[in-house]
Amino acid sequence: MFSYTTRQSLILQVNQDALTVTPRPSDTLLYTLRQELGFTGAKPGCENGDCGACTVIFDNLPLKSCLMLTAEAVGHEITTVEGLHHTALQDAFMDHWAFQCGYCTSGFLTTAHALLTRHPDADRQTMVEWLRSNLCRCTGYQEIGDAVWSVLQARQT
Amino acid sequence: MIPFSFEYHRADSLEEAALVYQQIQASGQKPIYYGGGTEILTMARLAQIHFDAVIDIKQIPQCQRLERADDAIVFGAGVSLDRIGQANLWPLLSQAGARVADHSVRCKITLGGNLAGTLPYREVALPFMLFSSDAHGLVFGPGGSRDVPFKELFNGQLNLRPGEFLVELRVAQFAAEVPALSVKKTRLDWVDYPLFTVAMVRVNSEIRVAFSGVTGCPFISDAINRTLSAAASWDDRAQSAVAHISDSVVDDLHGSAKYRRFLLTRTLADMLAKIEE
Amino acid sequence: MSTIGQSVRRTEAPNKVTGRAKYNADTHVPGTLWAHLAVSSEAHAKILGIDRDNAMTMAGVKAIVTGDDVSLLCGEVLEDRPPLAKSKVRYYGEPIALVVATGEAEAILAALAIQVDYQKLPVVHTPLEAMSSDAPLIHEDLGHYVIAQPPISPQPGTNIADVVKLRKGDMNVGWKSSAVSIEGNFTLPSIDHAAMETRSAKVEILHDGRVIVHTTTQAPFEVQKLLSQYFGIKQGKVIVNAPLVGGAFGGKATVQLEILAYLASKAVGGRLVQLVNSREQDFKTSPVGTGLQAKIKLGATRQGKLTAAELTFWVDVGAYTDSSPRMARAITSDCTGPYRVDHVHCDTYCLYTNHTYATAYRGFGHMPMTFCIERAMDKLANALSIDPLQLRRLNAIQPGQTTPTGVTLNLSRLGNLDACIDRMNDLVTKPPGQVTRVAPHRVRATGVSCFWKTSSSPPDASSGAIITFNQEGSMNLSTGTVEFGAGTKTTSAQILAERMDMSIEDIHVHTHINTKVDPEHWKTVASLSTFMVGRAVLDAADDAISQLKSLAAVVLRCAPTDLAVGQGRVFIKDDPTMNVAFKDIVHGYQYPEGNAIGGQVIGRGTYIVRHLSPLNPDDGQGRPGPAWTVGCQAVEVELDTSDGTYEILRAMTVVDIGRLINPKGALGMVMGGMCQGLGYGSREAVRYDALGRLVTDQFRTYRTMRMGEQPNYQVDFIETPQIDAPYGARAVGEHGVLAIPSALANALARAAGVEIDSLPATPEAIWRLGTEVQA
Repeated sequence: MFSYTTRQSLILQVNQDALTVTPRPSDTLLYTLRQELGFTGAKPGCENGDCGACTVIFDNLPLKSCLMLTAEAVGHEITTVEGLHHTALQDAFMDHWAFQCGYCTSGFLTTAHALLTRHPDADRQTMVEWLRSNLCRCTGYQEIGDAVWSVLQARQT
Repeated sequence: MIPFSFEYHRADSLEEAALVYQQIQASGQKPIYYGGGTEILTMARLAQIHFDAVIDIKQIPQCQRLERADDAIVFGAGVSLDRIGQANLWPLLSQAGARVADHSVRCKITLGGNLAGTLPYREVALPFMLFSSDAHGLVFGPGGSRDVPFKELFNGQLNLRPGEFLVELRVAQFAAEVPALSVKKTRLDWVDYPLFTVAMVRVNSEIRVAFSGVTGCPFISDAINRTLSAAASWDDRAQSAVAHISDSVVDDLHGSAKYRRFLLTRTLADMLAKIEE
Repeated sequence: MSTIGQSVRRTEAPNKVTGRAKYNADTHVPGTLWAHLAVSSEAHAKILGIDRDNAMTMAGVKAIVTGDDVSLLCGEVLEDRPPLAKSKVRYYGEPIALVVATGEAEAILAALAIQVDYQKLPVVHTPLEAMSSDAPLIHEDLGHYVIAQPPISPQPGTNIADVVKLRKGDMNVGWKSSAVSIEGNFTLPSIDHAAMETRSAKVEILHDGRVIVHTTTQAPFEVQKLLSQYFGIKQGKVIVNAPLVGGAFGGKATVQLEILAYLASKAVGGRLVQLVNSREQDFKTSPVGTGLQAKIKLGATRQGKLTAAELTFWVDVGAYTDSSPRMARAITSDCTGPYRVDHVHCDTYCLYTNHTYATAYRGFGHMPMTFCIERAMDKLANALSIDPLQLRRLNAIQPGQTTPTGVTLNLSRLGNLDACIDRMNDLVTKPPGQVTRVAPHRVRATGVSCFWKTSSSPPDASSGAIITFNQEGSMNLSTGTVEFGAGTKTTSAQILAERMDMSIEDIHVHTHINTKVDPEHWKTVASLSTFMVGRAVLDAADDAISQLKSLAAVVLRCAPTDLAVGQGRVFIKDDPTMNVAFKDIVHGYQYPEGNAIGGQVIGRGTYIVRHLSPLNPDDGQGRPGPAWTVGCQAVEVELDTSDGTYEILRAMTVVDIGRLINPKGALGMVMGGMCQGLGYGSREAVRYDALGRLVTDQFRTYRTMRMGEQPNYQVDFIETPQIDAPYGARAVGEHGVLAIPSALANALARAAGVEIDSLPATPEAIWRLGTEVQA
């Protein structure tokens, strides 16, 4: 049994560092990442699980950090967009102009990065099914799809 | 952010979960069991529900089972819809679960959470409803564990006694071997609440159908199943079946009752055609 | 190498793909107090009492402000809006009380504990209902409001906030010369900007009187001006910071949360207070994009030449006017669409309803206006049995002709609509009138539409640019535009790099606006930034070049006219080997023996729009903008005629962009606009229940497009330079959205054989229209 009943300290594994946080038990992972750890790449867009701007990689799966309590994340590996360094995916997003305002970008990148890790052989339909979890209001989506697809294809050939 | 405070308890065993539930209750506070938590957290943010503690049960080993055992398939209540789809032990359940919310959210939503939630759709119940004589649930609570026929466990919503939670659902292996279909219709978008979801199976010459989104809660009707299994054209059977749904069909932002009835008739006819091919 | 025409990466791209780009709510200073709004649960009601006693005693609560504590009416054009509802509420979600507390949780809990006693009033649901003589009155004091920015013509004793009249030619002549006429009635819902970043504001009032604001805005200088005006603070003491903005689409050009955050800070002795909209409040409390109703009658000759247009628009401004009167004039100015019509009669009414108030939305009213006129054009094409694209080509407005407001057009001001239509004719491959059956229940059809738009900006809108140099010779560029995704910072860097003939790598653009140090740009709206800021940047570059040449002339012992700049050097034109590097002169030139001359080179540039005039109140004549952008759009659909479901196969745009400065940037702006337009056409709508309560306050109910729902995009550009614009580039930021909803509706109407005159065109709506036709 792990009980976290009042504000104390917890250790989270974020971007390969063990970091100490002191959230309330009712604080979401999104809130703690932003307010305590400064990982503001995770964006609040709806805090309702609808937009995907707060998506982080959680043990290789894309999860919306607004739909998770901080305490639930103890013992798991979390990667935020700040944990992605010089990846082909980030370059592809820049080259394909896969964003305008950039607010949804972190969520698309983490979702797509998890896809590349988990399904390097993904077909277009699988890619769309994963990326459907995120909203973008600026682009026509084609730019984002092209960016992710270009990296998938480079891996597959 | 979630404005009010509550405690978090992660149970390692069934007994621990039930015990901490009782202890919190005994201290005059309100505990709730917590699986994926997606609905609990969104409602808590808007202060639409109040509780003092969540008891996270999804990682209890029995809640994580996802396997074939003897002549049955076992689905732990704490297994995410994404994992159910990946394992694909029961394609009909995979299909029904694959249209709940979006992919990232399905990595979090659990089988038990979808059944226990306040949203009326509870799509993952549909496949079990079609095999209710061959499906069982295991629940655990203050009185220990209880094996319950699915029919008793679920009649549109989960029937649990105070302090109980769902551990797993089992269905006979043959359920995965009959022709089956699950179709979800929405207003327009792929990711959206359903106008309705229909699951259909053919067991020998018998057609069984379960519905979600049509009326308040998921339902199955012997009369409709008889109508759909009768000898008549697909269109005629579909029309007669929908005529049986006299209850108030949902009329909301996503679609009118009239359109739902129309679309449901068409969908049933299409599904019959496909499943009897 | 020239950077104009190159798809250089956006300047802020590396930070946006690493999570390092900071938006307003990303910086958090410990000790900041949190504000949270309690909002109205009624659409129209008297406030009998607000009980805040319970809330005041709750943990962490520092102050609660209500309408009773504030004597202020706000409004960009007409001052009709109390920042916190006073004595009555006029829309569901209207701010009622502002809680300030030590933390976000404390503020939210206290706001939930505030009790309001209402006496319900009858609700006005639609603009046409608002016009009715027995409609409940929403603003009893309409006759007493201060007009902040004329023109506006409120009609006291009614719900009519404004009327705009346009009269061109002689309608009798117009109708007499017509052989065919059609009429259409249109109803379009309000839309939400739904920017991914919700609005937020932070305000701190320092003891020296300075007011420091950080906000999500497209109009930092407007925030500065209005806070100064509303609260009697010297403008120089109001300092507004605008970091990167997470999407705006017009919705952040309005000033709302800044006023509330100021009131919140004031209530707690000036401490730093942060107010962040939840997504629900962003939908229901902050302004939406305009819906409208319209009636249009068109007359044409048998051959299809338009002769007369009679148009009435009833604009749903919601509870308060905000920028709607200006938008009503924009709609009126371009009301015929890009077609020659010699006889025009247009009345546009701004009507109060009990809806969330409206503000600018991408296109400033042109998207709903274009929907109405372009649906009317398709009705006319049907009545005349003419191909819809041919009808548009036949009437396309030309240089030498006049706009509805009487502006005589030339090629530079207008661009080439004929060329856009001709190119579209190639793209659509099949005549748009043709419906093709591809399966028993499945048909394909293409709808087309044209658009035009000018800025409808104030006649004195101005912009500035300042260039400073680093000692290494690289340049810093400071302008007043906000970066919300449109790429204005990148474009201005490209314009400067081009004029200086240097690498864009050596241009450092100031991204976060601070009104104290950055020169004013009116507002980052109306697709004007490239034009206005670009002109100011060119002016500043020329100023810097002249300073560089003056000093270099001394160093190189020649006349300034002998010199040119390029590649970070000033050189002698006929012998570039004789040159001096920027790094040796931009902070003064030092002779070998130690003496120095010159000083820092600082380039200063300005631009003010010219020759614009407000519309005449009697006949609407005047000049609303410097130039137009024209284009043609098409959408191809495949419809299942049995149930109304459809797929959007292709969406096409040909736009006269003047000159492509950044091809991928322009393509992205246009495709993004098209995607939004498809959303508005197919699924988006702000919806209210029978009691006037907004029910689409989450992305689960306010549906926008998602990945996989987008069509195959085809975008092509015509380049007819706008001579007075930087390198000829026309405005294009808004335009991708404008004629897409009507093109979609035209396609679906043809495919289904029904008239789609309201939006969104959901499958159920098409099915219902189809069953009505059959009945």
